[in-house]
Amino acid sequence: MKYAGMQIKMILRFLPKAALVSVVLFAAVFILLSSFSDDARSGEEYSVINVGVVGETDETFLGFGIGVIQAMDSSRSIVNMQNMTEADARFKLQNGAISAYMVIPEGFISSVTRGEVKQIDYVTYDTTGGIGTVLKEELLHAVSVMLVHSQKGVYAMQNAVISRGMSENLGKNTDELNLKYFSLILNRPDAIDVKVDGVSNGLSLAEYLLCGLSVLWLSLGGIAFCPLYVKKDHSLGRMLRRGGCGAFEQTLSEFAAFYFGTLAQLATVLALAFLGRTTVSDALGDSIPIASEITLFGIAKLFVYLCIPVLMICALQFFAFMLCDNAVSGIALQFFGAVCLCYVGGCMYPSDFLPEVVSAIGNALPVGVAREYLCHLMNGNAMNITVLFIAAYSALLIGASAFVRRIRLNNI
Amino acid sequence: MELEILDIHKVFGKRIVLDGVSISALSGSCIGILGRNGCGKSTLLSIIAGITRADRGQVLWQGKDISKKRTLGSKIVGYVPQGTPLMDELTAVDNLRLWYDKIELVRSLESGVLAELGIGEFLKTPVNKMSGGMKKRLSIGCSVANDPPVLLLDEPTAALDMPCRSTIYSYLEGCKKAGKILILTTHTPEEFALCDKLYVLKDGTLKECNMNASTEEIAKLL
Repeated sequence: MKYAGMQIKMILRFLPKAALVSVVLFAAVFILLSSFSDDARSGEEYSVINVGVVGETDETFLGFGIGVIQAMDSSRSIVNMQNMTEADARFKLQNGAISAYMVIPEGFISSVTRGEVKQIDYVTYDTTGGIGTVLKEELLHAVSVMLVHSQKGVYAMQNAVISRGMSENLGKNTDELNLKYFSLILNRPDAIDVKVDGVSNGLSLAEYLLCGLSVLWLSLGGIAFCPLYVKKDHSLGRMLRRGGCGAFEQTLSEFAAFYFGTLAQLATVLALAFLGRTTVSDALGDSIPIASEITLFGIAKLFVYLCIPVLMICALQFFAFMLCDNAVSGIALQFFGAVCLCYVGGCMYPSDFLPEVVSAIGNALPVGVAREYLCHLMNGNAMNITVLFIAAYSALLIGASAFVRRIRLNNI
Repeated sequence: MELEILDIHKVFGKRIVLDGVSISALSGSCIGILGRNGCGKSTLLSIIAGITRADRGQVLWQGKDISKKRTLGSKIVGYVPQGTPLMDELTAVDNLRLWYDKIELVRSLESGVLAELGIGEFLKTPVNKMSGGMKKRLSIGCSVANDPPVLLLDEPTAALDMPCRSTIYSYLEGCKKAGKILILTTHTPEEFALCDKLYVLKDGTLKECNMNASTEEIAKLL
């Protein structure tokens, strides 16, 4: 017990240095997360491109064609087509109100359905071909779809009509059939309703990464404590063992102090997050709704729930301490170990993005289990099955640490 | 009171470190053990202290084997290792509190062993800010918390300055006069004068050497 008390005292003296390192690491991870959050936000916003259409858009097929392009637009730019005269189009192009305009010749769609080629003039100042390329592709795609799907049926109908000697209304029947096909094509995009289910347990990518990068930050926290726990000289441990404080008791005493120190670091960072909640909310709030609801009670509750995965992560870090015998190798193992394990454990990318075998291994690692726990916590389910795995891993790693300590004490 | 080390054997892998080592010592005596680096001096002391178990042999105190009873051994044998068995982030007084109870600590600082070693001068200094001499004096102070009748010291004055060595020699002389048994490993000729018997450890065996032999003659034995 005396040794445990001295360890706590030692940690309390060391905390200011450790907390500083922790805050710096947290700032780095927060910047990483908020830059991702900005990307996600801008990705969801589409740029609207105004395009003028000059020509007889009253022509039924052309009206349908423009509607098809609008409905089938799958690019990140939303094309907004506006009917206007050619003089208006030229004027608006010059003052930037539109990006380009098209001049549709008279009878264009009818000529397409008859297999003739009439040219559409596309006028723009954009010589890089950006929106022009998009529009050309969209137009070609729309025309191809209209032609392929409609003309098969139209040719079949025409053959049937001609063979039965009913060709006096062939032109009118052909037009009616084409119109029916075009309205079917226009409605196709509405046949699919796309819902985004999230990347893991229904979380958005940003929410998932908040969980993963939190595990990364916690995993890197052990670096600050390397000077305390990575030792080459085990003479104190041997003396303590003589006095009845064996390897297991020493390990538990040191681990308890280390866990306490890590929780103190966590409390410091959460307190700073609460004090700077406006900044956190502005940086993350749009893509991570929970970040816009930071309250004192919420922070306190979060701290209590985080004590569970922190126990396991501390056990993993402590085991790494036991394996090294100088501070440089200790810091290197902590850093590279944390980064590699977190990468494989799906903390930097959703684990589903990784190959199946890697994903399965990653989900079974302690960091993967911690990440899963945080994902469940984000969904409002703190007491889930991952708690059992956390308890098992913690016991296993502390036991392994005591075993390594015993070997080191026996080796002179 | 007598300490007997009987027929100690220890092998590390294929290397025979101690091959039937035996010593005996009476109260108020000091035994010096010399040898090349890595010959097994520290291993022998750690076996006597109960830190390492011998493959064979016994350590008898007043006829009782204490080699396999660590806790009993720690009350009888005080051990000052070569390393620094201290907690670096804590002060001297915090480290002492690990080994002394409150009352004994106060008494010792006022008039006991800790006063003799001059530890009162740097009680509030953190270990990581101490000199080598201060650390060694503190280590000795921690090791004798139970006032053990036997004291083992592994190169106690290595890399220390003259004033510090002088303090430690005075303390060890005092221990001898008080009837303690001292066993120390040394490379320093000055420490030979402290010893009543000198042994050379070579090839796993212990050989007593002439107390009046010169440094050159002793070096040849190594």
